[in-house]
Amino acid sequence: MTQKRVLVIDDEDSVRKILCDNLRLSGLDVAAAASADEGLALLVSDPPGVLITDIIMPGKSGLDVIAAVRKSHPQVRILAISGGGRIKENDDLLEKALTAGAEAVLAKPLDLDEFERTVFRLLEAP
Amino acid sequence: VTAEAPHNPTPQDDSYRLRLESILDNIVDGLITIDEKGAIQSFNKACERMFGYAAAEVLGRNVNMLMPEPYAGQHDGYIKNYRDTGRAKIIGIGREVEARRKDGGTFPIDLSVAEVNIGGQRIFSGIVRDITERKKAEKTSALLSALVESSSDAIISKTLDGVITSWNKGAEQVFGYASSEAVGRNINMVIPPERLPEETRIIGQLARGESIDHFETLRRRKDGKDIPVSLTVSPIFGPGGAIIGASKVARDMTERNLQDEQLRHAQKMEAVGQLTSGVAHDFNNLLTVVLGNTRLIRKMMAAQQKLPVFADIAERIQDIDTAAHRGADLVRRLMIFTRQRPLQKTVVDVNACVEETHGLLARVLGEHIKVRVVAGKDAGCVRIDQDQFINAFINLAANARDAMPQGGTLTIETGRAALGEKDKAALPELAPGDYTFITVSDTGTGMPEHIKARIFEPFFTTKPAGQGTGLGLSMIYGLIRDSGGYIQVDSAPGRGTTFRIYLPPCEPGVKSA
Repeated sequence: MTQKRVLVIDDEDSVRKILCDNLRLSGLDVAAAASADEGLALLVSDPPGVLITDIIMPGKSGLDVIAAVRKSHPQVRILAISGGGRIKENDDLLEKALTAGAEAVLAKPLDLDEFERTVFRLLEAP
Repeated sequence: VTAEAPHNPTPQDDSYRLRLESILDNIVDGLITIDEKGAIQSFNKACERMFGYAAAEVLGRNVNMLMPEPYAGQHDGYIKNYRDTGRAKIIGIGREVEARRKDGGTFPIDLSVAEVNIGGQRIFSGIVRDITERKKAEKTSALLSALVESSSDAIISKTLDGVITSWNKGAEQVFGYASSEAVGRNINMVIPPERLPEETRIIGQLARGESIDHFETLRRRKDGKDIPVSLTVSPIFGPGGAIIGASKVARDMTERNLQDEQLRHAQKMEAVGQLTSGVAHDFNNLLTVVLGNTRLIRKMMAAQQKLPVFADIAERIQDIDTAAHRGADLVRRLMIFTRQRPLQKTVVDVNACVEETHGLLARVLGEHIKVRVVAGKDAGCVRIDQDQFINAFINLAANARDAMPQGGTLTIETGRAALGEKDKAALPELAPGDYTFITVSDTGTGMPEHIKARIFEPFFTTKPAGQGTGLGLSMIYGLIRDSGGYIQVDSAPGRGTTFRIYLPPCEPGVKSA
């Protein structure tokens, strides 16, 4: 596991790209995946220090990713992000993410400063 | 007729008697004569048909055999009493009594009794009319009357030229006129003048023998208020088959229409909510991209230490940032309306909250508007997002201010209201029970119905472009609904506007979710 490595899973290309670019500019080693399955495969091959996952995605959701990673890689810190809104039962998605085992959650639109602070905090957490 | 001497019959008398008997046998009513002891002396054919006895079976026997108990047992006593005192109970008048047939069955009769003196002998004659059919008809009629009277619909009958001939309790309630005020007057009194041609058409249809089913129209109450009604009008046929009038059933549709309207409104808000929540999701992603890129550009410029060179660009980036943040704020407010953003609910003391907002409101409203607070002691606490609740007050106050450009009074009233079954029509989404209410009223211009109907829709605004997002009231609507309550608006041009918020009360100190 690379301590400064971060994995970003988001199905929205432009969102994924800007999150990765910001983190890279701050000196992190960033891997990206456009789906839950792709992300989980990357995670197995090279586990990151922090996993950042969107919650609402086609196919497996971010909540599925969190549940899987909590079982297979308990040491990976998870930050869940969600734009919310599309599905009705979405009121408490972020709360569900915390319950599923995410260490932190942030709502979109992201405050990128807060986002980055959160990622670094998770990377440095013992 | 030349002589009347029954004690000394002659052939002429016999013929007279025979003629008389023949007449008596052919009359429809029964005729019985008895002597002063009650023994039957004559029993005509009609009696035979009614009682099921042949005359020969009853002649000479006590008339009480034709009566059920308790009359049978009391009859001898009546006759004796009359003989002794001369006080008659039914002689000379008629009354309805029960009679007994040979088979033991009883039937109602109308009995009139007369006393005659023939040759010094007292004879009582009874004319008996079987009133079984009449009684049945009376019963049916009473049942029908009870049905008509107990109906909440207005059931009215009128002549073809519109004169009201009957007016039930339902009509009294629907139209506000007592039966005594309505019967005899023309039906036009409940028809708004512009609807009179309608009545002419209806009468035309009736005259052709046609009925009118569930015709929805307006009718005018005694208090001048027009109400929506559904009319069913049918012709009334006279005995000869001619149309002699019309029966009219008018159902007050006010409540039904209100419920339909509430349902339509709820469905519309639900659809708009789904649409906006979808838009909000995509918008949040777009804003994340915009804000992420501006941040990135700034960082890249800083890394290259060329900020002074790019000062103009930095300013543009700042503008993009500001716009994106405003967009983010808009989405956040939309999310409150669609109930997608979790609210930070806490237990809020309503009166304390109103008090706290008071100073803030004064600043929003300006000096020309007076704020009056009527804090009900029993208003108590509710569970709600306090910041949003305060925002709601400010928002309502700002709307009130815009409705009172010449100044006026903003009244905030709080208290506790018990909602019962009768409030269901106006507040279908609230279960009966106790609610804390907060009303915010202004003395401003008020709104016409078409604006009032859309006031809680997101993006609906009456303000000039750029001066209002049209989200304020829809956010309040979302906030109140999400807090288990309901918001209502009452307004009419020139009458000001009152927003009435109902929230389920909770005990102070209850843990918030």
